[in-house]
Amino acid sequence: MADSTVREILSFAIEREKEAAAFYRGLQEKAGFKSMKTMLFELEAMEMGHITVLEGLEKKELRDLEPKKVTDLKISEYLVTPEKPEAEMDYQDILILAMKREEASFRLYTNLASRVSGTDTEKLLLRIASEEAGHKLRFESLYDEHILKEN
Amino acid sequence: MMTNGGRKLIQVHINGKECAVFEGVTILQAAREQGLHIPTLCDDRRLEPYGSCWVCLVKVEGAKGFVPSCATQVRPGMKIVTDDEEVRQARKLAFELILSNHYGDCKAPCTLACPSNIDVQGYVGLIAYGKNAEALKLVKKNNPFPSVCGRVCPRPCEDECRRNIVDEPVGIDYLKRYIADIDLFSGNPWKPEVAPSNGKKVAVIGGGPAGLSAAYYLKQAGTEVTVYEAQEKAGGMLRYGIPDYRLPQDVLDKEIALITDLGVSLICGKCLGTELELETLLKENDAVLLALGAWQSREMRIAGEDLPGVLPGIDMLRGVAEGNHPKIGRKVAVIGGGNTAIDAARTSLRLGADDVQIFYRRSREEMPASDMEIEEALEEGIRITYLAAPSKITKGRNNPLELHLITMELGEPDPSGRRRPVPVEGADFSWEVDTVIAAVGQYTDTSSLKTAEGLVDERGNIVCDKETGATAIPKLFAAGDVVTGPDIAIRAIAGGKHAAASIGMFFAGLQVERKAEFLVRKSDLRPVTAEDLEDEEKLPRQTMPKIPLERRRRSFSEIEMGYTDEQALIEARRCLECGCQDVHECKLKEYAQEYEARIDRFVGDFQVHPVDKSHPYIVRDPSKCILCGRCVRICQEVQGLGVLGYVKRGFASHIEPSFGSPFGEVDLCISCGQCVSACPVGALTEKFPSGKTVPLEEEVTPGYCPMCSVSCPVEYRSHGSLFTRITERFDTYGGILCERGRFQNTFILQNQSNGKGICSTPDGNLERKKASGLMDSYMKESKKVLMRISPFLSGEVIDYFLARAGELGCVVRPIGLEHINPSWIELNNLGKGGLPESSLSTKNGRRPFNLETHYFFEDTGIDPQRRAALVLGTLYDSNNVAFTEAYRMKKAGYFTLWVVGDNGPAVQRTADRVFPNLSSLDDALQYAQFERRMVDILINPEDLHVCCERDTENRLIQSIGEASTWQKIRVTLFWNARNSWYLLKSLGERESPEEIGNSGGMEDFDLILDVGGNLESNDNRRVIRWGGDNTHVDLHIPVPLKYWIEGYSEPSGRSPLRQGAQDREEIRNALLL
Repeated sequence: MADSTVREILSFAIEREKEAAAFYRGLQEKAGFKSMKTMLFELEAMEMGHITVLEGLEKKELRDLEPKKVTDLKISEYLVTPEKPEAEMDYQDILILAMKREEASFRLYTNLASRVSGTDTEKLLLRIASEEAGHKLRFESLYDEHILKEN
Repeated sequence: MMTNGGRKLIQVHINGKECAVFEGVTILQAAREQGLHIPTLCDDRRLEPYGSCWVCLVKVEGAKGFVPSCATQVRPGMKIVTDDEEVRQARKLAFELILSNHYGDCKAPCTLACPSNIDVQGYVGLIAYGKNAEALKLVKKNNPFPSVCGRVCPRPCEDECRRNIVDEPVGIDYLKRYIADIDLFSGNPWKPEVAPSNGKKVAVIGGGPAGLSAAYYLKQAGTEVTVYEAQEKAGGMLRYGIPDYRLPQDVLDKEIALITDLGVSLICGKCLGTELELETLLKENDAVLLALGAWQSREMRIAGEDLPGVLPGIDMLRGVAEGNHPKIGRKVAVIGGGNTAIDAARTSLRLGADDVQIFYRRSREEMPASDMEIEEALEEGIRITYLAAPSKITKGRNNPLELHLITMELGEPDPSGRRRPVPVEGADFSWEVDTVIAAVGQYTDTSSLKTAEGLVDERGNIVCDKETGATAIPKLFAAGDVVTGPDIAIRAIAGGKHAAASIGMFFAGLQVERKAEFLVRKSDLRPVTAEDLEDEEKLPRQTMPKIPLERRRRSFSEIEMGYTDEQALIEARRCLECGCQDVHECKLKEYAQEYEARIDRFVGDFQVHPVDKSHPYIVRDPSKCILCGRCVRICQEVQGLGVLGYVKRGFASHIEPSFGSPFGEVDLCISCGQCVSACPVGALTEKFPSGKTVPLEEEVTPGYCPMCSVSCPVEYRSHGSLFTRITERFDTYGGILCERGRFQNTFILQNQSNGKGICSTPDGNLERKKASGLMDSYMKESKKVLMRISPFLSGEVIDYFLARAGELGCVVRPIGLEHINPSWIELNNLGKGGLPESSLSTKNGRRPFNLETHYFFEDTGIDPQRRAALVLGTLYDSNNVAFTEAYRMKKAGYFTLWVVGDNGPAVQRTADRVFPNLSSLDDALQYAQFERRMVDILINPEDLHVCCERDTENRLIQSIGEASTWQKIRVTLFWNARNSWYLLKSLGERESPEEIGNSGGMEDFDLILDVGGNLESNDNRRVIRWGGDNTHVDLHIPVPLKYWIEGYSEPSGRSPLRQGAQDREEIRNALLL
């Protein structure tokens, strides 16, 4: 990874986002509710938006990149991944699924960064990781607000 | 064309239409004649046009800008536009300017805080008067579950109660429960009227608070309603989610029965998706309401949630409600901070657990459970650990389960300012228990509605107009948790009520909408501060009696026992009466709604003045004053006093009593209340006699004032059996009233036991038949019977009792008139019985209304310099409306006004010549002779009798009699009750005047039939009293109100004002004699 170019890292990350978008697209076809489809479509669009953010990073000087400060509500960490047919998933299931995916991405980039510590590449990876943490926070906030209403 | 006494008709164009109107009238009057509505706040039929409020503006061709229609006279050919977009915008602007300096609360904050907008101030006020039945009806207008809500509501109303600023909120919910329970357990609870069938059919899916409330209001509108309930019994979460110790199922059953008793069909055990199909229901009904409720328990989704011993909170509560008590062991952990969590914890105690601990992820402030519930749980020994989130559940070593938790802290505020809990690194702990109850939330199962496109949102709630409940699918409406997500009962009830209204609009072919009511709130300009309320007395809140703590912890018996009668009265009196007294008839509010005015259009300076409650009958709230000037002008122009006046200029200008004194300390004020009746807003309002004022919607009964022989036509206003006010009618006497008629009579009526027809003895209430029997036996046992009759009663009742007295052979005396000098009665014939009949006719009450109107003085055509009205005595106080007419006639130049024997400040201001002493009558008559004046003498013999010796009285009578021999004199007698003259006259036909006043002392009689009196019984005599209160008498027979305020009156010298004829048989049945 240390030898990877910025281009390669970003391509990798962008590919992952594209894969995520495809995942939500796939769910849309299976979702029972129209409104659930709408929500999944929004998630897909959100992932596409992330791609734009990543593409934007390419134009920046690596040494100027700083990881964003993101609060970690640590909701995802304690939840069990839903194991049910995708068509039967409800709002809670999909939020868990989405935050779990963001959590995994965050971990991946943080791990990768730890392997190239002290380099500009580390900075880039940490920055990407913080982007993913931000996405996770967004889903966790929704979960906190709508699912954990009484807790 | 000449018509109506020489008034000329001219042609004008109003809104493009040519019409003929009288010359000299204002545009406003002309438009009204044409049936057009122009708003106005300063126009008053009793006053000359003024044009101060500037909301009646119209466009006149050729005129620059707008003109005030109330102050602009029509001219021939005038082209007027009373209503177009420009005019509307200009009026709207005028209203918005007024509103920018109108500081008040149309409605009380408690009422506005209630999701169903129950008139809290109204029902609390009614309770303070002991009018519990009326209070209940008021609540049920917006909530068919008052006994339920009185137990379980988290009471958003009390959070907003202004008493919070002073001490503690009024126990609103406890009071609601108090009145609702009285009714519910009365054996004959109140039921609303059901309109005749409208031919429409509605299916309601879900028999919880939303569905049942909708059914209640739909049925009242005449709709055929069937409620389908999935569970075995109706009630929804109220039954299956709230334990019996808070809400006994019996109470719920009874309130549901009151709904089904109206004719609502309830079919239980039918579930949407299995037994019911939405499409079929839509086909078979004119509308369908979805009110499914949120029955699904939210899973925690942590590891170990599926272990035996982990229970969903709502399932556990439902099981207990159905009688299935789960085995939960001794140690129980509950996850969550809502009411379900608290109920699950408290239920666990009652199921035998002795160590119950609640874990909540956030802090106490965020806890959604109601504070009272939390407090009660703590009292019962339940512990609550805040900022602790479950991470997983495993099998325990010593107990079946081990709950793993993380300590949380509140993180940095997010962009919305909210501090969400975040885990504290390394602060994990665990807790071994027998049972874990997860109560982290609920949601609606809408899987059966999946097929309906767009009907359900991603969170499972129904997509609909949140105000009306209308969905995008025709005929389909929704209400309750299925729309809002899990919420409190009163919000579901409100949703059901609104949906019923929407369905009604849909049936009527109207646009389904719910328009926001226009309301002014103090908080729009400046919130109420502790300083504003510093004069309010601190009064502790009545504590709810509860069963002992030890019994509570182990039993499902209801904890709260309800207020006692005494507590309810005391608590209701704590209300600070925040809402405006004028809310139901405020013109500004009405117009602001009509013109869609905005309160915040002109934000800037505004004036706040203290409320002045010093007057015995009137509350003055100058912060609401819109400076229309009607109060100032009516006091000056009609009453001739000028108690109120403008002070300062420009923006600081406001209205104050003379010399800035408190209103109650102005000697000049005669408490006629004309200012209150003129005020178009709530700046001057009537104070209820007891001081506790309640704004209520009123029923209006036209009648006559019995308080003096002027017998003014009035409107009796009441809410149920509570008398609220008496207001003038505009058809006679210039639309004015006096202190006695407007205020004192209200006091009498508020304290009178009328209408209910319950007879009583000192031992208690008595059936009418028994009362009649008792009366007969008293009559038989007595040796000498006296009947006293009140002149306040209707002529028909007086006739009836006089006839009965004749049959029974008892002596009769007129109450309060026993000692009237009979010579006064002779005097009434002087000048041919007062005035010619023609000048006194009210002409069916359609007399034109202006200063030309007169009732006690005819237009004789005599030169005013040759005519005087001479008032003898204190007629100003006792028959003020007659005096005021004399003043108005004097002002209009008919005569000069002289007063003999009254020297008060008001008389000084109104009369042309004042002779302070009664003995100056001779002087006054000599002046009249000298000036060759014809004299109309107005006398109230009752007052004269009270204020002077018999000798003086005789001398006065003699003087008038002598004077009548050499000059033109006419005498009109006034009395202190509407039928004094009629009673005296009727008695006179039986006995001579001397006999009337001289039939022996009271001690001669051993039975007194006291008709409308207040005589008390003693060792020597029995008293049977009709009317008044039931204290210190042997038998009390209530007198229905109509016999006091309707029927005929015969004021002296004037033709009787007959209003219907009261039926003799009905009188006999009502009054039992």
